[in-house]
Amino acid sequence: MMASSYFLRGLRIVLLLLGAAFVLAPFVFMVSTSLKPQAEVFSSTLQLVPQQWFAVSNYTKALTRIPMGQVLLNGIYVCLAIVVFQVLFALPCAYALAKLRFRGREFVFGLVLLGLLIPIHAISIPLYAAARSTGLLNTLSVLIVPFLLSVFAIFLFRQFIKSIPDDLIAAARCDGLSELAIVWRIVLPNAWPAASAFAVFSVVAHWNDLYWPLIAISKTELATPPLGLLFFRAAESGDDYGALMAAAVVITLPLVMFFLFAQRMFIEGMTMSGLKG
Amino acid sequence: MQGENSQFDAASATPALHLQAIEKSFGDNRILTGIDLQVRAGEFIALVGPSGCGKSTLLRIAAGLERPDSGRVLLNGKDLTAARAADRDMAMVFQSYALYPHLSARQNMALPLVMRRLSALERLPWVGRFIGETRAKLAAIRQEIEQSAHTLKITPLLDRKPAQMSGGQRQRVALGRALVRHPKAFLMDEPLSNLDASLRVHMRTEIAELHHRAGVVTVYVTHDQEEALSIADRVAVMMGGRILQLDTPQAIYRDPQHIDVACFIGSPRINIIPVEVSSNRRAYWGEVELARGCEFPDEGAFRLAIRPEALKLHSDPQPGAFAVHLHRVEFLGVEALCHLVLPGSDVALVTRQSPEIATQLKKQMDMSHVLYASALDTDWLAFNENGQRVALHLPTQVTPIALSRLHDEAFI
Amino acid sequence: MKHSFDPNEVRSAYWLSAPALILMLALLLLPTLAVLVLSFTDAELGVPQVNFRGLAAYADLLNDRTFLGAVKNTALYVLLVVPASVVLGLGLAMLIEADDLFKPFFRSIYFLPVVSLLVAMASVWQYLMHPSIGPINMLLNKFGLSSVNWLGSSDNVMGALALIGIWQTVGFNMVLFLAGLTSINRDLYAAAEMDGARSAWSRFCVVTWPMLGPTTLFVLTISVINAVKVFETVATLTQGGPGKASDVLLWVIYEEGFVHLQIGAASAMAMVFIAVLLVLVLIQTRVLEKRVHYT
Repeated sequence: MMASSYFLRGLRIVLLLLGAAFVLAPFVFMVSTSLKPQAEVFSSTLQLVPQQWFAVSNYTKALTRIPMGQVLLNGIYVCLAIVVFQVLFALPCAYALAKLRFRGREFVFGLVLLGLLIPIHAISIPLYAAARSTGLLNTLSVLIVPFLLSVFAIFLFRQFIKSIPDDLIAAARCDGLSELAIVWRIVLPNAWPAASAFAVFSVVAHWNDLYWPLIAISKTELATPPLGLLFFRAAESGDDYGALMAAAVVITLPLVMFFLFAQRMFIEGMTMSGLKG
Repeated sequence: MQGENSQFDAASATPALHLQAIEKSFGDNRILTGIDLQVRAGEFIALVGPSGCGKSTLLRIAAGLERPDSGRVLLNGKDLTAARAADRDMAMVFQSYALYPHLSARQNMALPLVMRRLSALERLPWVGRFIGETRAKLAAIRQEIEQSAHTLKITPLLDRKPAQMSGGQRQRVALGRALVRHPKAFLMDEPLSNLDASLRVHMRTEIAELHHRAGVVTVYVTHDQEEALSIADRVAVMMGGRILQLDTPQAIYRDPQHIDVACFIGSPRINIIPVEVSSNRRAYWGEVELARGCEFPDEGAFRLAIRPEALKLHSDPQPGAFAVHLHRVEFLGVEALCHLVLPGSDVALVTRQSPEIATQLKKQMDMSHVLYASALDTDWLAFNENGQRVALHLPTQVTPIALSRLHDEAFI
Repeated sequence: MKHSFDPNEVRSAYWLSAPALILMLALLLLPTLAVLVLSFTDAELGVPQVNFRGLAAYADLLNDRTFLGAVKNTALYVLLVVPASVVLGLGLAMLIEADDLFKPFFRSIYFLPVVSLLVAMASVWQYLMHPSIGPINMLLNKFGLSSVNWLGSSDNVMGALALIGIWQTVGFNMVLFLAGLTSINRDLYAAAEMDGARSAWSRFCVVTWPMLGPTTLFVLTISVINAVKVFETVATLTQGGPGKASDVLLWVIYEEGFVHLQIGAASAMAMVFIAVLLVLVLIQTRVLEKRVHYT
């Protein structure tokens, strides 16, 4: 492309900065309000810097009104467990679909495609009924079990594994590896980009999920971050925006920090799962 | 160092395309230095050189896709340096063809004409063709496309999309897209390198014929020296951002002015022997005198070069021959390549022999068996330490340059 | 094509896919069947007696004002969020891609909303949109405009939710478009220049837009599907209010099933929900995909 003039380059920066201001505004106000006492929040000014430093009080409330630390840990535990199990169950099946020849392969893949069309929210009712009758409600396991299988993972991995050279697998077989060993020793290391891409996608999706935890959990100490914040809103009086913003900061921070450290992985992960899917 | 071959009489003083004093750097990388290229009207010039020598960049500067840091681009005397590519009336064929995948061959070829002849309003989808003379213009364009398609023999492909065509077919459509514009210059950036070998040879001739018919200045970039020599009127050998020599194919081959040119052009590669020239102005490799009869202009370190076909092999010592060991014979059907080694060193030489002689030699082959190699005095090329060509004084006072003229005249 | 299957390979394949298949059966297929069956009943959570009603539940839906309202609101939400978020995503991607200066910086900033907890950011937007102390209205007042009741007015609530939705998804669409833009063969732009495409607009029409076809289709599909699934913002901020003005499909399914405990009726709604998504995906694969892929 021909080099553009300084004017155009400057225009681009200006436009992008304007957009960035709009995008960042909520974050700025979130942090600013979390530092203010209620009186200041309700004063009619647009001042960002607090006159009275109320951070300690707000953040203490955020962390103690509901067991925020526990909630965050729950979130991390649940999301990690989900990702691990999803990869665990999806990878062998994806490998079989991609590289092995067997009767019914097309049928199984058809089931996978069908599964992609079923949104988890729609089938929450029978899942809830089943969880209730087996007494699994209000446990951390109930947050994990419905998501053990990700058909999207099977679909994504299959695409990726197909591009692994057949010769590599043939060589492994000659070396005496069983099919299961091939999956974990050959396929997984080679499919690492797809696996990490999917992991990013899955963690972001499940970290944000409110629907299922809302139905399945009522105890605060078992809440995941979205539900925890909802409980906090219920526990706190509707007007304490300072504390609410502090809670929002605390609960948003982990994933944002993780993102800022691993930006490339995140962005490549989301686009890769997106474009391949 | 550019030699001008007087075989071509310059018809007019103004070159059709003149790239004048072009300099280009990308950051700290010097890509082009002191380039001066003058292309005569209707001439086919090949820019050839190894990867990274700057030939593609030079082509893009000519096209207007890159701006030079300094220098000018002149087309028929007009200074186009400030003009953008779309305004230069030059057509380009890309290595990747760059055909629009969503358009049929016909639409691909029509696009340059549509963009230039129809206004933005007339180009509007659906509505445009009811405006003004759009329909007449489109009909005229359609006819021109059919003509070009006929010339390129791609008429049955016109309604196909690029994905439904083979590499060679896409190549022709790309040529067609350039052809329909009737531009003042054709610029081709390695158009054949994505094709397989046999198709490449075939398309070479087609491109040469097209050029002959169109009679328009063509600048052709390639890394394949054989391709360059076979179709161009003149060849510019580029290395490290400079034009080392600009000459006819014969002169480039017979009369390289720089050792890099000699090594790059010709397959198998020219043979190089490092020699010491003593005070008697004769060349010695170790104790052995080489190129007996050739007198050097100076003493010091030089390099002698000889083409594989110029080196003859004998089983017995001959006057003027030097000893070599036969290392390996490669049979190539019509000829054989004999790989030699200068005794007691790793200096490798290659000669071309007929298969019969090679078979004979092979029968006698073992590392200790010595053969003798010789060459005509006039076939030796000498280069100094800087790689520049030096003239050798021959006993019969016939200069190599004049001799290659005699050779050329014999072929015409 | 006849394959002779290697019995060892077949056995391995079955063992390898067995866990996934069992889970698929238990977690996807049987529940879907259960929803279908439940939709034909008047089942209620906590009530042991279940009566078969056939298609009556679906007939009820046609007259159910809440459900129809939810369909309308969800459709409105999709129409507000998707075009804006897709067009802005494309525009941002093109702006960012146009120059190397600060590219990674802007890319990360615009992506930040995507990795921020939606429930938390919804709460922030609630503060921003507060009728009296919210910065948005304060800013409007500074310019002499009157305050808007964003989330509290039934006329504005879907618009307010849509604004939050756009804010949250633009970055994701942008990143997808960026990937699409960088995959376009650069030579095509050079060829377009040689062909006489002088302006940025003609370059966009001749190269960028056609080449982005598959990406645009994908972004559109994902955006629509995600918009139809809107839930978190409604659950956090409005709970369907004020006065059912922000009832959306997933919210009414949740309310009907888990608040009113009418799981029979809720299942019928869920089946409609599945059907809507199915239709949307089918539109993508059948109608548009052929036109957009050139290979």
